Amino acid sequence: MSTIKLEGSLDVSSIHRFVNQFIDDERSPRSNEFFVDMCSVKFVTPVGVTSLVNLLTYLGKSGCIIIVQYPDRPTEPVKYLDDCGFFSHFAGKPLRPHAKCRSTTIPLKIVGYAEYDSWLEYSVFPWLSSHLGFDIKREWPSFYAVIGEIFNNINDHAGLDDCIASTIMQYFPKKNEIEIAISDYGIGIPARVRKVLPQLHTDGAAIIKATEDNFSTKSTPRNRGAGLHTIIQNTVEINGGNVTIISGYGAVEFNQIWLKGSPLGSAGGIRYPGTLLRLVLRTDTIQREEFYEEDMSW
Amino acid sequence: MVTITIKHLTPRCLNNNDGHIVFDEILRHLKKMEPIEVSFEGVYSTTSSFVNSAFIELLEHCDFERIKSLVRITHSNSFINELIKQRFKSAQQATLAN
Repeated sequence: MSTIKLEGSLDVSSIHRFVNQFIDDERSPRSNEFFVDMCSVKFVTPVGVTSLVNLLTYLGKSGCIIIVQYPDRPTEPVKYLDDCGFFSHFAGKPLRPHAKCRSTTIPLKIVGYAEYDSWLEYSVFPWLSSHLGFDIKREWPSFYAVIGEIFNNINDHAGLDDCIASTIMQYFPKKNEIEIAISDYGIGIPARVRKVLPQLHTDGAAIIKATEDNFSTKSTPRNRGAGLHTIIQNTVEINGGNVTIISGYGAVEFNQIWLKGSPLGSAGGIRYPGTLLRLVLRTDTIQREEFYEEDMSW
Repeated sequence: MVTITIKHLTPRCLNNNDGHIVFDEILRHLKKMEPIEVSFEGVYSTTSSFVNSAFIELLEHCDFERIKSLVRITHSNSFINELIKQRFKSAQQATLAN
């Protein structure tokens, strides 16, 4: 049995190191049994939740046995995981009898491509509309488009037997931000990009290439690219938020200063299996659609 | 003038398959040189995948000038209109670059 002590924050900066404790660069589990000590986890972000869920799901599918130890008196990070539905998802019931989803959270969801539209319609839109005080579906069309692009991208590029992604959304009212984390364990962006551009040296460069307008790996015959480009354009350029893409050995952040992407050093030569997207959208810069129908002039 | 109401063809406008349904219908009329009104009534948003498949692929069958002269986009909103225009602009830039 391999004992793994999780410490500090489970966030973007630690995610590669964290995953690498469980699986190697070829995605092989480092053990058949894991004893996971969560007593020293200090902070968990939405990215940490989705990564942990994908990892444990993957290990479970690989036949591994996982035992999780948590403090007798649940710490704040463990409570957050519990309220997000983490323990209900894996153990069938919450850790604490009174655990419940926080009003600022869209809890953990394993969303298949076929159902994400109804998940948006019946869970995400009402939740966000109630927080922001306007009709998200009608008045913030770019939000709908961004989520759609993310799932299209997963569907086109994951390359696994399923197009399932774990996702969580967190609203931070004081920061005027919505953080969205979505992770899949597909083939990953760099591997796809190298099929058409094998000369690219780094996974970070491959991720940046994938975000260029009109670049497509032609993963499906009709694919013309622009999905990731549209996500970044709407999230960063128009909304003023930021996007982090982690895939393979690459980690790239897109923000107001680095519109075309800046590689992060956090990967440290460790491979992330699949793709993880973190979007931070600002709620104080939303360009609301003045909803009236109009005809388009060419 | 033929009216194509997208909502009557597909319940959502999100991916390539949704777009392809609309593409087939537009192309059928374009080939006959019929003016077409494409109505987005009841549609609030869409994605680049949908727009690429529904509209940009038309460029493989006829030139942009003919599309502009025969296709009218109605009951839309500024987000959808901008996305369609952006995708056409990018496609033309890509054609020039190649």
